[in-house]
Amino acid sequence: MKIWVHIDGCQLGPYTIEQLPLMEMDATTPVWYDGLSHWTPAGQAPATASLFAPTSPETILREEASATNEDLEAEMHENEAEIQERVQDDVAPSTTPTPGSWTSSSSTISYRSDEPLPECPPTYLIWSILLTLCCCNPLGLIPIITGARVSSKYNNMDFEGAKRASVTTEWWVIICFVVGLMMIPFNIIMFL
Amino acid sequence: MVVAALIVLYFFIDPAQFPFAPKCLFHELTGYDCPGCGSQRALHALLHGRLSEAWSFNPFIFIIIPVAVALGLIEAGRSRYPRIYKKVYRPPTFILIIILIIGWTILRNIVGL
Repeated sequence: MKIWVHIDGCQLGPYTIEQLPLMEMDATTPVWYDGLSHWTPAGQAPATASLFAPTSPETILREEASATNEDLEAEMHENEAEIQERVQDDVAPSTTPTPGSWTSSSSTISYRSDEPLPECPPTYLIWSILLTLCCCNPLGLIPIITGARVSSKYNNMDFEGAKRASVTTEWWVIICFVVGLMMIPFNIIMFL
Repeated sequence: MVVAALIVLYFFIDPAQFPFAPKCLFHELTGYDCPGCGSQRALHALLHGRLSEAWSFNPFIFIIIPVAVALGLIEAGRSRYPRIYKKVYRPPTFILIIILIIGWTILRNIVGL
């Protein structure tokens, strides 16, 4: 059985049921496999619930398995690459992949789409840092702050909000760059 | 590309003597040093291997350049190692960088580094 999990705003998988105890996940981590209608907390999904029973020997398993961890890790990376390739193939025909909507409440988390999650939009962090330092421009702090909003919104599953924050950040980067350029004629005037 | 061009530019131009190198508006207006003040001169000195001189112009670039390079590598390797990207590009990282920059600005104006 192939199982996908959702950890730290990141969709991972597919894994086998034997691999799951190695993941940094708990009973509330959303999982999905063929047969589930939507993402379900691991503790409530029939196939994975046993792993997260209160007396689960999860931690012992984890220690025992730590020796094979590296092999698995490598395998996981391969799996991720495969998935991404597949995703790109799937997504290619439609121009904008519509993100499914997460509804999150105290008891249930559901993602009403089998599509993989959208990628985190760019945060332009490096550009903001360079602008702050190179253009001697305190304005450069603003895109760093809006970039932080991109990643916090993305981690909270607010993909549309993250996209908007990303565009805002991009504009601030451009503004800072233009202000930096405008300072050059100022310098020349002051120098004369 | 842009970064490479800038490196070449700062190798050949000494910002302390060249009149058209961008000057700090913040410094001109307030008289205080901004977090980046001296980074152009420091970069020039660094590219000529004068480490201690670079340090005296702006020690902060010794922290922020490795950070920026690391972030760039992580972003470039995003499709290969998506988990590392997800781990690093989180709000605490941004907040840490903001604190570093603001903290450094305050420190340098008080201590006079």
